[in-house]
Amino acid sequence: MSADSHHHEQSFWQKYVFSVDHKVIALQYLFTGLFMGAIGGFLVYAFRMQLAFPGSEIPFYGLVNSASYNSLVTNHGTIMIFWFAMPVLIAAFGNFLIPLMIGCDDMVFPRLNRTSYQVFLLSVVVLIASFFVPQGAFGGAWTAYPPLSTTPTYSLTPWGAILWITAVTLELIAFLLGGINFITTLMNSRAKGMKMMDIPIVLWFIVIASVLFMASVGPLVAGAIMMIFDQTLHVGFFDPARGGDPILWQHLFWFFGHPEVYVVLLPAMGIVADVMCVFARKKLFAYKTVLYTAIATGVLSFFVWAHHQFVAGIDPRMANVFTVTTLLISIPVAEALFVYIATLYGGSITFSTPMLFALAFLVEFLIGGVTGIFLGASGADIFLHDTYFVIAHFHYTFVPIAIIATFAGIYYWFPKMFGRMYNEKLGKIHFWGTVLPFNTIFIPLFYLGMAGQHRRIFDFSNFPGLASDGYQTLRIIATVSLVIMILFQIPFVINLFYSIFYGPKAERNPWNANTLEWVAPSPPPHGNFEELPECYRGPYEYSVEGRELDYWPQNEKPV
Amino acid sequence: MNQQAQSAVKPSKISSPVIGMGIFVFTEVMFFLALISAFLVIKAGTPEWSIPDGITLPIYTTLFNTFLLFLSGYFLWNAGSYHVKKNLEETKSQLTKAAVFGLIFVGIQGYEWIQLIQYGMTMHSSIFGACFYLLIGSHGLHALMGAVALLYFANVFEKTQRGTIHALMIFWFLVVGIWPVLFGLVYF
Repeated sequence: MSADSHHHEQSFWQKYVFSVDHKVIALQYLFTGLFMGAIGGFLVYAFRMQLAFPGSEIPFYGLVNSASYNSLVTNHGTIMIFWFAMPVLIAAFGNFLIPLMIGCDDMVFPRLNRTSYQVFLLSVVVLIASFFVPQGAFGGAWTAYPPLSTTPTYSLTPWGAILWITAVTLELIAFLLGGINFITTLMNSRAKGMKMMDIPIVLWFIVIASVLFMASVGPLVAGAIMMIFDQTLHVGFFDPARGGDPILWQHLFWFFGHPEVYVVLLPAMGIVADVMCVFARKKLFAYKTVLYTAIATGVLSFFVWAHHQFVAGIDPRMANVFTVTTLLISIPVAEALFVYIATLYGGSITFSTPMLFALAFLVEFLIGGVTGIFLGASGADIFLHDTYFVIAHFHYTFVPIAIIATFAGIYYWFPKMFGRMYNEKLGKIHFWGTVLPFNTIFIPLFYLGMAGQHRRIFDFSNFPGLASDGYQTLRIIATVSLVIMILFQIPFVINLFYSIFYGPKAERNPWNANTLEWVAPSPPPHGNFEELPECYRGPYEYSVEGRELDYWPQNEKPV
Repeated sequence: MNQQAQSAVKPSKISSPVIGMGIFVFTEVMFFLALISAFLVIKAGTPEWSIPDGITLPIYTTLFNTFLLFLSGYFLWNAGSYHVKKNLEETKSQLTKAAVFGLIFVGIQGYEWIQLIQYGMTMHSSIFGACFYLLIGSHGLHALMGAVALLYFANVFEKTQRGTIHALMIFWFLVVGIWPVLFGLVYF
């Protein structure tokens, strides 16, 4: 993008479909991600209804049989992680925020950025197509363990399996291109005067997450290629009868899969940090500690993957090592949470919608983290493995990450993204309707898991020990809560689309925030700033003593 | 790609294409490490690991081929130093040589593959064949892409930024550097 191209009249296609503008690409990722999230939500609705009311006709879906149950569960997991959490948290926020917050006009490689979204869109098409092939979408769980995923006679979805792994590989390639852009842009395009420690935490976290992604994605791509060969040519990389090793896939998958948790966690924590500082009018407590704990978490996340395999027949001595590393990783994460709480202490807190979501993130993620300790200890995990306790645990981490923190970010940057304000009342209705039912979905599942309810059963009436009335009541509570939570997304959708077009116009800096994106007009035009800003201080100078204003924008010239 | 607009920004010591390619090559190294560890795991789990009966891997031809690939890397190194000295004619000739030797490397490998397949060694015939084609094929694909890119940039490099040439060099040195590891691991 040279400077003079800003004045070109762009056609609709250039502007919104084949755009190289980071903001348009960010919104493309955001809306595609939200659309996929809605599909993922529909899938969970269908199979949770089956679990609560087995064998009954489900409104808007129909009957769930064992095969379609497997497809629903598999694709719910896959979509929520690869096609909702990743595109919204990393790609949408990364693309939107990085150039704006470091005060430059676009990504370093805009065309690579456009390619990234196009490959991602292709992966969406392939995945959705997999629902319409003979025998339906892949049903071998989102972890795709062989031989289930490689042997059509086991998974019963020969076409779905191939399309699924192809879609996942394409999606990974899309994010690889995006990640290259994020890291390079943060290194090379920062505004004049912006030192390493002046970068907003959310950008640090998105970029550290990108580094983690880059380091871990290679092994999964290698595994995916081997799996495609196994599925199509029956080569047998993962087939012991042909000399292969099924555990090998688990190692390749989880070597990616566990860092992936932190790939989505870090951007979420970054969003929460920025939102908290603005609405508590406080400087982020211990900026460097937050940064270093994130790096420590990132490094440690590469040494914990086998805690997913405690019952897979790995050497017990190895299990000990992975128990230790898993418990170790809770230290930096806990430290970050304490630092966040310290940031709130003594702050002048406004309970706006983004702040409510940010605070809910801290509370809910804490529960997710604490229950992880039980699963990280190999002894306890042998009992709890593959039960609903695991389901409840990782939803208590992933829902705060992918839903609660995402909403905090969407509401907070809404004025900048669309140039208009959202409706605060609808936002608060949405908040309470999302967070309260979320707890009543998963707290019952903790109890069911501890009672030994296995996660891969589609109809508990076949298992007398698990079909008792008490357990069924818990399942119904969870399902009803889920339906309530889904219904409470309607205020969000109304708020989103109404406010985009008819909301009150937003000023440049409606929150009185410090970071550079608020210097640009709302919404920022192509090229972002009228004049590229310069940076004079850190991003969190709120309530500085001796200043009339309680904020101190990064670009304000010192007197 | 976005250089003019960033002129207001403090320039970094390392150019963007080099950082971008560096990150990509890091990902590629992890990819190959995964393939190598998969190979070692499968090999360790197979009691009698041997090349299928009746098949001899063309070790001497491949050794010669390795030499050609190194030569290609050497030419590219030369091209880089000529480029720094702004000797455009020599840069172009060295880049072309690097590309041609890279393509010869891929060509000889393709010829070897045809022969191996004719002898009955396919991905499906044995787990050794599967691993062989997976590892050597992954490298071959990178070599092919790299050599074509070299040939392309040999023709347009006058219009190309220095950073892009350096990025290309980083990629090709990965292809050259990782080859001896794969060769030693799979062929012996």
